[in-house]
Parts: sequence; C-alpha cells; structure tokens
Amino acid sequence: MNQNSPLGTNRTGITVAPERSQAMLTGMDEFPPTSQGSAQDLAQVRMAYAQIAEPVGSMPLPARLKDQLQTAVKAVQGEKPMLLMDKLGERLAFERTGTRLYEALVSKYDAFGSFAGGPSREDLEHVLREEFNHFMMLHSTIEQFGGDPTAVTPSANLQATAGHGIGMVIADPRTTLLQSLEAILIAELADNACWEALIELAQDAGEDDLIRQFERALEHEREHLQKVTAWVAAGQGRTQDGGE
Amino acid sequence: MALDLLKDNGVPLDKQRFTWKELVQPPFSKLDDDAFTRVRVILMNGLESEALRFSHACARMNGDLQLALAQVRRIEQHQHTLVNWLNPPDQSPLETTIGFEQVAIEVTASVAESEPDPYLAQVYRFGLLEDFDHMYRYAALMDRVEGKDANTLVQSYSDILPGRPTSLEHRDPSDDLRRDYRSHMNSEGSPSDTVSASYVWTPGTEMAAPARQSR
Repeated sequence: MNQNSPLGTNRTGITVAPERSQAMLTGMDEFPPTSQGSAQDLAQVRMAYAQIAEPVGSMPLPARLKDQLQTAVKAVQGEKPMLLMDKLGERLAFERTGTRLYEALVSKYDAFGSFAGGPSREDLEHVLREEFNHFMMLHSTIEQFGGDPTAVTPSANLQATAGHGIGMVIADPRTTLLQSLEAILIAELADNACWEALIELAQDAGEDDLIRQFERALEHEREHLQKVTAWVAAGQGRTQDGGE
Repeated sequence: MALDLLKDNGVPLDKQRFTWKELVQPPFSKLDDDAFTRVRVILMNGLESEALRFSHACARMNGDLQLALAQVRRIEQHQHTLVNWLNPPDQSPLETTIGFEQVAIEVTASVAESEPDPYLAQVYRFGLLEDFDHMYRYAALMDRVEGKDANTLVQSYSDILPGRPTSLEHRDPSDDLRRDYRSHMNSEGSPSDTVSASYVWTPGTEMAAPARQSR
C-alpha cells in the first residue's frame, strides 16, 4: 500500500473554482465589514478573561499524608516538591496514553504492513513494552512519594489536551502507518524533552535512585525518537540521518 | 432562598436579558470540582435543549403561538448557552460523554427509587442497566483509545460495570415501547386536553390569519 497521500480531487484551494472565487472577491469589495476592529480587539477580550480566570486545576493532596510525614521523603521536601509530583503525574499519564498509541500503531502495521526502512511488528511492540514499563515505574515512584498515581495532575491534564490530536490521527482508520508515525513523532519529541526536565527536577530533589531510573527511561526514549525519525525519513524517501 | 415555583411571581419576559459577561461564566474545573457539578451542568443543558426542541416543534404545529414561542425561545437559547459553556474547554467529547452517562445513571436511579408504580419502577431499572452498560463501554473506549481512566471524571460515585451481553442489547423497536403508560399517565385527561377542549381544527389554520394578526 502507498503510505503517502495520492493525487486526487482535493477541493480546498481557491484555484479549484476560479469563477466562484472571483465572485467572492467582488462581493467583498461590494460589502465591506460593517464595523471597525482588528485582531487587537480579540486580544483585549482574551486578556480580560485571562485576568479573571481560575486555574485549570490544582495538585491533589498526598494520598498518605501521615506516612509521608513519617518517612520524610526527600523529594517532597525539596525546593520544588509540588512541581516534581506534578511532572511525575504528567509523565505517567503520557506513558499510559503512549502505550495505547503504540497498540494502535501495531494495528496499523497489521492493516497496511510496513514499507522499506519502516518498522517491523516487533519494533513497534518493543517500544510499546518500554512505554508500559515506564508507566509502571512512575506508578511505583508516585506511590513511594505518598502520591496517588490515579490522580490527574494539572500538567498531566494539559499535556493530554495538547496531545489530543495525536490520538485522533492514529485512531482514524483512514490514516496509513507512515502518517501515524508522523503523529507519534510529535509525542516522542515532547517525551524526550519532558524526561530531560524530570531528571533535572529529580536532581534538585537529590533523589539518586530516581535519577538512575529516569536516565534509563530517557535512553529508551532517545532510542524511540531516533527510530521513529528514521522510519518517517525512510517512508518519505529521504536520506536517513540518525537511523540505526 | 430556595425557589418556590408556586409562590415566585417570576420575571417578565421583556425584563429577562443577559449581557455577554453574564452569558460567559467561568467553567467548572475538570480536576477540582465534584463530579456532580458536571452532572448538574449536563442535566440542565439537557433540559434547556429539550425546551428548545419542544418549542420549535410546537411552533410548527401552532401558528397562533409562533411569536410568543419565538420570544420565549430567545431567552431559553441564552440560558442554554450559559449552561453549556460551563463545561470547560479541556473536556473532550469523550469525557463529556462519560459525564452524560453518569447523568443517565444517577438521574434514572433517583427516578426509579421514587417511582411508586412497580411496573414503571421496573422500566427505569431496566433503563438503568443499559446506562451502566453504556458507561462501561465508553470507559473502555477511553482507556483503549486515549489511555485515560474514566473514574477520574466519575470520581467513584457511579459504578463502572458491564451490563448485559451485547447480543441482548439489540432489541426490536417494538420492545422499546412500554405497556400501559397511558393508563397511568393522565388517565383522567391530560392538561393539554383541557386547554385545547374548545379548539376546533380546520385545515390551514396553523399558518393562517391569527399568526399574521399577532404581528
């Protein structure tokens, strides 16, 4: 199957209907806007609402406050304890969603097959397993710090909202494996940047064990990014840089 | 002070106005607010939707009432907008749907508990079984497709349980009807019958003179 889009009857451009477009442009001259204004007016409204807006959400209270006080976990005593917990929740949600996205990619593979230089089924399953293992590791970490791994933290919610379109692309039965890999590339880029940030936060908290675990996860994620980048390049017939 | 529909005189229609600021209220928080806030917003949104749907259908069939209904609808459309925009922008269609199923479960359970007629109570409990099933299926979809946990929205108030096997969910349309509903509801004449007792219908009257005169 051709992984790239075919030539077809795309009707979105103005040149598809030159006469109708010209009539529209003539109409715009005849009927100009009835009120003054510019994009700056919208900016004013945005600012007015932003100034009175409430936060999207808050951090949950520690699930085991008593235990937490007894064990005096270093991470929650650090400089940015809430931020670390927020970002742990963010990574957990992202890795959980990532696991499901790779499951959907395996289905794309089964439906369409791969392409020259593209992933094998085992390649996709390998990444899937690592995403799941990261999710489980973060689950334990949050519990260890007295947090509730089932809670949606504010950063987890924002990343889910921002990444919503990635899942929509991959779940769409009309998209090919290559098109879906282009979508997962966005997730892998974000994932790499966020693991790096999480390691820095763990360093601030002086959590040496955690840093080692997170660095291993980042190694995996770098490998995922490298692989996906190479698969997409191969699918588009470009020269592969940074591939295997 | 609680609203008492029997004592409150209400606000005249021409005094019912919303400014843009009143229409666009801060949305509830998906993370911080109680699940029943979402339930209430969705339930009230449903009531407002039904009011508008009924009004449009009623206007099509009653020419004399068209102007009055249009005037009421303008206000109700604003109420509908106000309520619906309390849903936050970070709530996806699937998350809203989970909210709809929670409304279905909680409202149907409440109605079933207070229904004195055993047959109708059974009807509601049957509906409830299906609502649980819908909740379960949407929650599974959310987990499998988006990797999210529906209980973060439901907040452990409503069970997420499988209902009946899929094969039993498919019924003949005739099985959607409930017997002897009419024998219980308005069995001694409906309010609509009383109001329209003196009305004599002749073809064409809906869209004819009275409506034009009223304008």
